[in-house]
Formats: sequence, C-alpha cells, structure tokens
Amino acid sequence: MLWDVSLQKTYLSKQHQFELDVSFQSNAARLVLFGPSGAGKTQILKMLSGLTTPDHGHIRFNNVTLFDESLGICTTPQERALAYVFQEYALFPHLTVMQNIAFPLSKSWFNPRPQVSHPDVENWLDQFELRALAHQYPHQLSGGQSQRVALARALVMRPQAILLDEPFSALDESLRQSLRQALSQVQAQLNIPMILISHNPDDVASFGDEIIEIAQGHVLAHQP
Amino acid sequence: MDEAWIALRLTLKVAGLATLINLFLGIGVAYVFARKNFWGKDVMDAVLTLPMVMPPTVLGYYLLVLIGRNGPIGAFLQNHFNINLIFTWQAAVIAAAIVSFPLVFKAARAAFESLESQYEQAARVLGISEFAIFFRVTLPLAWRGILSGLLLSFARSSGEFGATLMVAGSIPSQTQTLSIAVYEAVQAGQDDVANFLVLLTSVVCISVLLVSGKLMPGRVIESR
Repeated sequence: MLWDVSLQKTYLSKQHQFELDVSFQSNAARLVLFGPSGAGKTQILKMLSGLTTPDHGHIRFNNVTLFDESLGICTTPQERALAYVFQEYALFPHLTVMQNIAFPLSKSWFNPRPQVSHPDVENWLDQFELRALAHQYPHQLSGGQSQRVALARALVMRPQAILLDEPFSALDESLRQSLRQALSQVQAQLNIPMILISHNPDDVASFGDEIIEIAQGHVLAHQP
Repeated sequence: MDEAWIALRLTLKVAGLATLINLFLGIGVAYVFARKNFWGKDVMDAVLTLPMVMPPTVLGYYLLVLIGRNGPIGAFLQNHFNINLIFTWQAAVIAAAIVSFPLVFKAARAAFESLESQYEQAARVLGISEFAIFFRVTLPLAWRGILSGLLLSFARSSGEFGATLMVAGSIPSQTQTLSIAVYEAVQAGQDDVANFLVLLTSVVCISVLLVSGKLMPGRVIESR
C-alpha cells in the first residue's frame, strides 16, 4: 500500500475548536485531496510531511511507518524525505533562484554559493526554463516562475513523494493550464507519487487518479 | 591629551567586548524566547529587560554585591582562581554587557518573531538539520534587526557611566573610560580636556547611530 493514513488531531483556539479525523488508504500515484478552504487539507499535508504531529493515528508510506502514536514512532520531516511545495512557495528571499534550487543538496551550515554548479540543478534549470533567471532573487520573479523554482527545489532532493499545497491557486487561468501540463509531465517522467490539495475542480480533472473529498476535517467521499 | 586617546581606546575595547558577549548571549537567549514556551517565561523576560529601565547605579550595586570580594561569584573566583574583578577593566566589560544586553535581546527577539515560519518549515522538509537551518535561514533573514540592536548596544556600552563607576572605578588609563574621564575633567576644572573628550565622544556616537540607521529593518527588500 502506497499511503495508509489515519490522523486525529484537535485544534483549540479561543474562538472555536476544530476536530480533524481523517483516514484513507490509497495506491494512486496521483491523489487529490479536494475540498473548500478551511476543511483541514493543509493540516493533513503538514502532518504527512512531519511539520505537525497528530494527536493519534498512523502514517505509513510504501509500507514504512513514518508515524505511529501507539508505537511511539515519529520520524522528523528531515527523515521522511517527502517534498512539500508550499502554497506561497516559500522561496528563500535571501538566495538566488540557483541557490534556492541547490539548497537541499548541501546539508552543511552554509548555503550554496551563488556560482553553485551541480548536474541536477542544471537539469532542472533547463527543464523548467529557468536558465535566464538563475541569478535573480525571488522578489523579482512572477508567480509562475516562483512556482517552477519551488517545484525544482523540491525535486532536486529526489524525494520519495511530492506533496503540493494548492500549487496553482496564486496563478491566473492561462498560466494554470500550462503549469498543470508541466507538473503532469514531470510526475509521469519521474514516476513519483504525488498528493495534491486543491479546491479547484479543474485540478481534480487533471490530476485526480483518485479523489478524496474533505469537508470540516472529515473524509466526505473517496472516489477511486 | 594622551590620556584622551587612551580613554578612547579603553572605551572601544570595553564596548567591543561587551557587544561581542551580547552577540552570543543576546542572540542565543532571544532565539530561545522567540521559539520555545516554558514556565516562567514572562518573569524571566522582565528580569532580562530590567537593565534597560533600572538606574545604572542600582545595577552597579547589584553587580558589586555579586562579584565583589564577599559576593557569591566574587568569592568563588577569588578562592578557586585567585581572580579579583572589582576595579579592573574586565568589570567594566561585565557592567557594559549587562546594561546593554536588553538592546540586543529585544531587537533579536523581535527579528526572530517577525520571521514567517514557512521559511524554516521549507528548510525542514528539504532535509536540513535544525542547527543548519538557524545559520542558513533564520539568521540571514533576521540579521538586519539583530545588527541594529548590536550597534545600539555598542553605543550604549561606550557611554556607560553609573554601573561602570561602581564596579570598575575611575583609574586613569586602566578603567577610566571616555564618559568617566569627562566627569573627572569637569570635576577638576580642566575645561579644555573636557571639551576635547566631549567632542570625541560625540563623533563616536554619531558614527554608530548613522551606521545603525542604515541597517534598521524596513529597508529590507520584502519578498513576495
């Protein structure tokens, strides 16, 4: 089984309480978590990547346990090696496009130098047509360019799977279509499992090998 | 006028070392306060900010009680290492470091707290260790705020008077810093010496403020 997930967590704030209780199993290489904003989709993705810890439940990926509350297993995000593309891309503002993409390749205390050269970085610069922007800073990029840099940075670490949080929501419609195509191509080429969350039915149509509909922290429907 | 230059050198040495101490201590403590929650945090925050609001002479008195020959720290150093701090330039460094600590602590804490958490989270899922994240992401994004705090701390240290006089005294060419030398010159009716010292001090302070103004946050190019 590719994904075997059961997550329970209670979020408490002064105003209200939010219960997240989601379980699913899936073998789909392209899984879409679909639902309105505020349904808890991002929280699910953060738990899968290890950025937040569920109160109860388990996360197994490719039959490897990443988290199991009853067994006391909780691997760190670093150990999970699941790439996460943030909704706002989270490109490091103090690093160039090239340095951003090369960021995960060095685990040392120092950032890659501006003149960094690595075959994988070169490859993604070419594939995502970022060559001309290699020495620009994130604030100089358009939304579509930022998104491709974020994707390249995620893929350069050769992750086991890729998690995408509303990857097209910040882009206009014409860009969305071409970037959907680019993402689809890369996913097929690398044959890398992918979970994408979206509230846009067009994303579901493009990537929904399997669709899990989420509403108010619960699974509403699971369409294989 | 030779004494004036000696006093300037001593002042720069004391202020430089005090700022160096706060570089490590202030940033370290500020990071813990910005990222961790622990019992008694508010009380500790108040205690650490105290040097900013308390009269320097009161602070000097506390210090005298602690590191004086009969104080707990002073007696320990005397008995085990045969070190006496009172009326040495090292005591002036300690006094200056304590008086200016809140300036670095407050600035660094604000800089860390205003950072968007997504950058550190992105680095985490890209497989970078927590320690490396601090040096590669957190510190570079917060450094402007921290640096302006360090410069203010340097300025405050070089102008320190009350606490320094209590613990280090006013020994010419040993513990007599610029601000103390000004006081002594006026007391002795040496107006020409006083004039020169005051001018020297003003030049140092204006230089520090000019540099610090250039580095104030707000001039940072914000990322999208």
